Amino acid sequence: MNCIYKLRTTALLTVTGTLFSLAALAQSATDTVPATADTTLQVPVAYGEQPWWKVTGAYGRVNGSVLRKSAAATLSNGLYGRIPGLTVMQGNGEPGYDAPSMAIRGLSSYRGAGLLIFVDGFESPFDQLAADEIETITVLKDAAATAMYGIRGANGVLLVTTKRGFSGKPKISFRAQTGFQRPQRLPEFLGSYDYATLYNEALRNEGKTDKYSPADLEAYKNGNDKYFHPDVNWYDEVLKKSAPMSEYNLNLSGGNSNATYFVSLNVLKNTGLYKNTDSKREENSNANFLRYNFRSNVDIKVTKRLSTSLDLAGRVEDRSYPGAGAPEIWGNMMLIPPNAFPVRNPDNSYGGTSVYRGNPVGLVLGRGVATTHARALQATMRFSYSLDQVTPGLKAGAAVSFNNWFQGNDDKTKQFAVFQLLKDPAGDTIYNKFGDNTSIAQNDGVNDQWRRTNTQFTLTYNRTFGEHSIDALALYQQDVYTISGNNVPYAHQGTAGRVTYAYKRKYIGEFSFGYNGSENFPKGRRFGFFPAVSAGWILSEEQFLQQAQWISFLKLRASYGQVGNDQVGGRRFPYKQYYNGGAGYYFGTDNRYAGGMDEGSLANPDITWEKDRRANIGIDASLLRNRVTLAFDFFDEKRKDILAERYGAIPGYIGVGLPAENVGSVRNRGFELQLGYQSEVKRSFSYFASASAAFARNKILYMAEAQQPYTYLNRTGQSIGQPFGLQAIGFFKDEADISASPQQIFAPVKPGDIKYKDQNGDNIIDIYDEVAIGKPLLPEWTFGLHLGVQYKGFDLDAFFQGVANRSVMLSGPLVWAFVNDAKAAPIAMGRWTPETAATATYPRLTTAANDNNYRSSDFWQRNGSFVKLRNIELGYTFPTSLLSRIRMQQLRVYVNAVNVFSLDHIHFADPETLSGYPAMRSVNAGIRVQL
Amino acid sequence: MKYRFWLLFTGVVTIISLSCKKDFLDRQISTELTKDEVFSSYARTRDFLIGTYAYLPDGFNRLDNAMLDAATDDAEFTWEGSAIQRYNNGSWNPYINPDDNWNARYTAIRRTNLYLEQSGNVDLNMYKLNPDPTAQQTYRNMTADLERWRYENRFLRAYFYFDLVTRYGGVPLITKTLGLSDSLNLSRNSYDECVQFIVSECDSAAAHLGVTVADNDLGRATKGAALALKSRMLLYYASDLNNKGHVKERWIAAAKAAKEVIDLNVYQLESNYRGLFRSTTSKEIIFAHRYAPGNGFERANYPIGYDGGSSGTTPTQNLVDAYEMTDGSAFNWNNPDHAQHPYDNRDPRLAMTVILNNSQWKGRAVEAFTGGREGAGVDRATKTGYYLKKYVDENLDLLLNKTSVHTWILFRLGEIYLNYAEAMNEAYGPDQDPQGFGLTAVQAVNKVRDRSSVKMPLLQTGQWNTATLRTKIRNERRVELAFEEHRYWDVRRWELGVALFNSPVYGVKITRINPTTFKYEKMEVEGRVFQPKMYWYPVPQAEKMKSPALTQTPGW
Repeated sequence: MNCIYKLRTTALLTVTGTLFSLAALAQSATDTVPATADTTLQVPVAYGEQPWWKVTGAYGRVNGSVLRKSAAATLSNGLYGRIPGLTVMQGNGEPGYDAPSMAIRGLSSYRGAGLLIFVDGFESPFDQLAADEIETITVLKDAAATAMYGIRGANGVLLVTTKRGFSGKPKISFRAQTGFQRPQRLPEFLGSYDYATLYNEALRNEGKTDKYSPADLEAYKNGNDKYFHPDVNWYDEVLKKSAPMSEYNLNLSGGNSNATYFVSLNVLKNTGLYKNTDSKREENSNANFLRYNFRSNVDIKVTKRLSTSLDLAGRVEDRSYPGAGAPEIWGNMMLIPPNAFPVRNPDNSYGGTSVYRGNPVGLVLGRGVATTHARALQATMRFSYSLDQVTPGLKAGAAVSFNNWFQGNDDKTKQFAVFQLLKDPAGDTIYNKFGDNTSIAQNDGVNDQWRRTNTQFTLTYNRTFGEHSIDALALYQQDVYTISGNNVPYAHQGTAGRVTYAYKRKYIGEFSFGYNGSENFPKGRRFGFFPAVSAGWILSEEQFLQQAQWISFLKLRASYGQVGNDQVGGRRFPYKQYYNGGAGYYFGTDNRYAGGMDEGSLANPDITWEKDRRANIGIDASLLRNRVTLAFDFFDEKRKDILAERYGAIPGYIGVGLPAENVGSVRNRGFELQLGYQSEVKRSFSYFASASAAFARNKILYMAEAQQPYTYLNRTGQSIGQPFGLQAIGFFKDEADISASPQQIFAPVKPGDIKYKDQNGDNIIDIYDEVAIGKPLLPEWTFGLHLGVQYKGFDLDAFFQGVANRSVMLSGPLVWAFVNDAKAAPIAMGRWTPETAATATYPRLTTAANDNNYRSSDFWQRNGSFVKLRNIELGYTFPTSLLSRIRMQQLRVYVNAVNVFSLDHIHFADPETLSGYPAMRSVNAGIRVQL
Repeated sequence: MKYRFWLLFTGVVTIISLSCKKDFLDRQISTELTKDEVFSSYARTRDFLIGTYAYLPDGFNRLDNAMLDAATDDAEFTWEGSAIQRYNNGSWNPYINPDDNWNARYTAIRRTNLYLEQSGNVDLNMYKLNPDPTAQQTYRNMTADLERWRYENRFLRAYFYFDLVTRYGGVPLITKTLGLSDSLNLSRNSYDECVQFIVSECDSAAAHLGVTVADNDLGRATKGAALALKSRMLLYYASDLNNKGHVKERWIAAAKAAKEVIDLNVYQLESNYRGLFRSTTSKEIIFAHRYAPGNGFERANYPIGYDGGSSGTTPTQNLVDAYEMTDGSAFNWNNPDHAQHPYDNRDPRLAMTVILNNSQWKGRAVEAFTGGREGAGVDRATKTGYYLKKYVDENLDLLLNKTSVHTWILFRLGEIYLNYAEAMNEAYGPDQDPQGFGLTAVQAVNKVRDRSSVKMPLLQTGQWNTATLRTKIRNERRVELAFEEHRYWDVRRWELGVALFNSPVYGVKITRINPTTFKYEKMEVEGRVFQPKMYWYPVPQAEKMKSPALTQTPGW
């Protein structure tokens, strides 16, 4: 068959070791488009694997080799836009704490929304695994894919599969990569002269007198009085231009027919941006993250029937940071005006004032060191016993997995004094001290840990009878999850099953179910049954399409079923009311403490899990001899029984916390589309392009909302996380305009203040005029575009990610000049003055927080859509002919860049990380050697 | 070979059934208690009541570290963005009312109702049925405790209602715990009904609570606390705002209630006025909110120039001017001597309440003058030229995070004398005592003025009429009870809000002539807004929506 031939060709080319075929193979498996027609290719599904053509559910997957190109210290940062339907949003960029947030097919619940994540079949976090040990990451989306997870499947499931050994000559590969990173974007602020000029203007606007004299302004302009008229750019003072990051990886794999192994060691060193820190980490420390990953996956065939495997994965994470946390350091850098005080005084003490005591340089260098040391171990042992003697194709399996994590800290922190320079009447400099230099205080008492113990028993049956084939799986599993600080472990228990029937490789039908329960619900109401049915029809196998040569593969899929979510949010064991220790009081002549007792929130004996009915239809196609691939999925989900406390309906004089009740519902609909093209190889040149788009939009159908006086105030009917605010309609022109307009109650208004729309026509602007504005923070659209070319040994690969239908609300020192002692950003230069009334882009300046201007409104809201070049890589693979002489199988060198640029609507900050430690842009060079 | 399968199969089934035998999902919950476990236990029932004490109001930090007096003409809070400023600029309403305590008070009231319903279920059988004399004694002690606690609890409930009623007027009187299946569309009881309820609860508590408590129980509600609450409630009830018909009997009732407290004869005026507010055990304290050692109040209120200080609540010139000269005459800016040395020869309570410029504080002279270390020109320095001294512990080193015990006085004898004086003056006039209480209005005022650390000239019998003495008593209350959360409510109940809270507050501009000479000029600090509707708080809009039978306060 054509497909088989194609595969053989590919295989042959692999053996010859030319680069493009390697890349092409990798590529064909990465982008979740149907792989070429190897009927035996197995793909991960819930609790097992399936031949890819038998899959009837909605899945998405990405290969480990692709994640490696993202050169991300944290693995999940490699997933941006890679899997349609998996929305990944960047968090901050602090080394060791930079994991992004994730959602599968948007949101279906306004309560608990966490994904279920499995590593090699057992629940485990995956953020800190190394890309080199990953085989694939699979996203399970619809009911058919997730029904076996039953009560836990509704938010979607992520399956991470690590590499395993193979029978054959040992393969040793080593990779080293090093690079530099710098912030994608840092916020910008005005210098001292502009700041002081605007501050004076703000004071005059408030009827006060200038704070800065013309002489002061002149001094700021000249910039030659660095102690009494400083002009400090805190980002320059605190941050280095760039910070190094390096990673080393060694993979060994191989085996024979009796045993195979995959062994991996990965070292990652990531450093932060802070300048002048002590490399010995005694006085102070940069933000450092050092990680070691170990893995040993061993498969042994013990007897003809019994096989076993032992996976050991360990990790050590060492983190050290300045004694002041990143929020404090970055918050002060964003806050403190350039002229507030010099970085250091003439006597080298830290500058500071009564208001600004957090000198950012002092926060980095003068607050000591905070370190944490974490270790993790996941150990899984599996047995599989063939029961062919009972009936051919039957197998029994058992697996047990222990997974644990421990983190201890060792902080050596201290405080520092700041000094404000003042001139006494005689003109002498005096030092006004705030705070105190303290000696180092040590604290190593904060430990954090969790552990999971899982047990699984399975019976599988796979057999083909002529044109019919049956695959069945029955499973029992239980797990206990214990977290430090919580003496009641979380537990799940249940059975699950799946039967897949296929006829002639044309028609596939599948039934799967999960019947499981969690400890969080009342006895007798703990277990739920969650079934799903699905079907696939491979049209390309039908006679009537055999003539259509341009169709290589065409399949229709449909599924319908119900899944649940037991992470309902709120307190645990909500079916009972509890009393617990509460605030106490002081009695006696000695004012002695006596503990109190509190009544907990009311019980809801009928509490249950969220239920999600979901339908999915999909098409997988491969056209023009597999050169064009296409995948499309449409889904419709309805979540019900979402918890809500009826605070909006029950009067406060009931005087007690309300129980969470299963009253809410949300509908979520959308689609994913993926298109790929892989060119032929002509004169050693080939290229590919793969594009994807995913859309998900939810709507809250019911959430027990309080009756609102105006329907536009309702959250019900909107998307989860829909922002609300006032609608700005310009600035007040003059006093006449103010008196002719509705009264705005937030603060006394003056000409130049933001004027809002009176939504209800009551001639008063208040919180009842806040309407839905813009879109939620989680984007509705996500896009991916993957492009690559190969020519001889060279390959170039670029990946773009985009999101749309997303809004961000700007607030705080980033945009609000002078509020809470903040400095001013360049956008404040467009402020309203009587002269610039026609062209102003920013309200009248004030030094005091102006509640009228600085509040949630569409004036401060921006379109949060963006397109980012997430990574680009250029590599060269040396010809095999050359390498064979030095007994080397492969040698590849590459350079890559991450987060190269962003096209967006916010030019002064990154649309994903508006404040705090920024996301990084990096440039790396690497080498990969395979023996 | 089939036996191997069956061996394995049996093994698997055994393991599964073993693990299922004890319900795998039954997770022991050891740290949390049910209602029965709490209220069958003497100790936990006690603890539940102790937890209710923690709901007493916190006057040290009413809102954003500001004291409630910063919403009166007595003080200005330094931070302009504080929620307390809404009461000064008039930007509070049914939607935004920072001092709204509707839900918080009803939470506390539910606790007291729950306690009354449940505290009879304590199981003392292990003592009751034990014939051993010690066990029998324990049984009697515990039974007596439980009985007494019920009345402490009823006093606390009355206090919480008082807290609501002074704000909102009549509120729904809820005396049992409500469940979701109860009718939850309650309407307000009338103000009169609420007052009657509070007074009768106080009477009932007073009848059962002891006059004194054991040393280790100091701080618990006593008979005196219940009677003091009754005294204040009845005084408010008799005042102009609530007594449109000027019913004289209300004043008489108020006078009687105050006299009942005085007649307990266990309270005495603290000789050291300044020390009273740093004391936990003073004989003058009738009831107080007690705290762990802390320094939050000093961090909030130390002058900005002192380590750790943030200026906080600062007294106004309006208040400072209210302190008399030591000869009993009024201070007058137009008197050149007064204006030049405004702090000389003043009522000693001024220097014990207010940190004045060039006075000693923490080992140095206070520099509240323009250009001084805590004077105009320094960011976050006082806007009024004064700093708060009352209640503030001068001796804390904030850099070393030193702490001390603070006690927020809710009722003290000084107030009761002034309650009595006001009620007697309104009922009978300055010097009359037709009921033979043994104390006239003038005499009651003199008790307060004659405190050994104050010693202000006594008012003379026959020199006063009701109107002049009324003014004098109002000023005396202002001065004596400054920063104790009286001014805010007194001005309201006197119906003087529009007169006093709708006009500017003043500070003092201090210019240093030379190191020991200063020039003082009165200056306006801030205009204030008070509208007639603000005598009463609006029902929070959210609560009004959920409970439509609640009528909104007139004007809102």
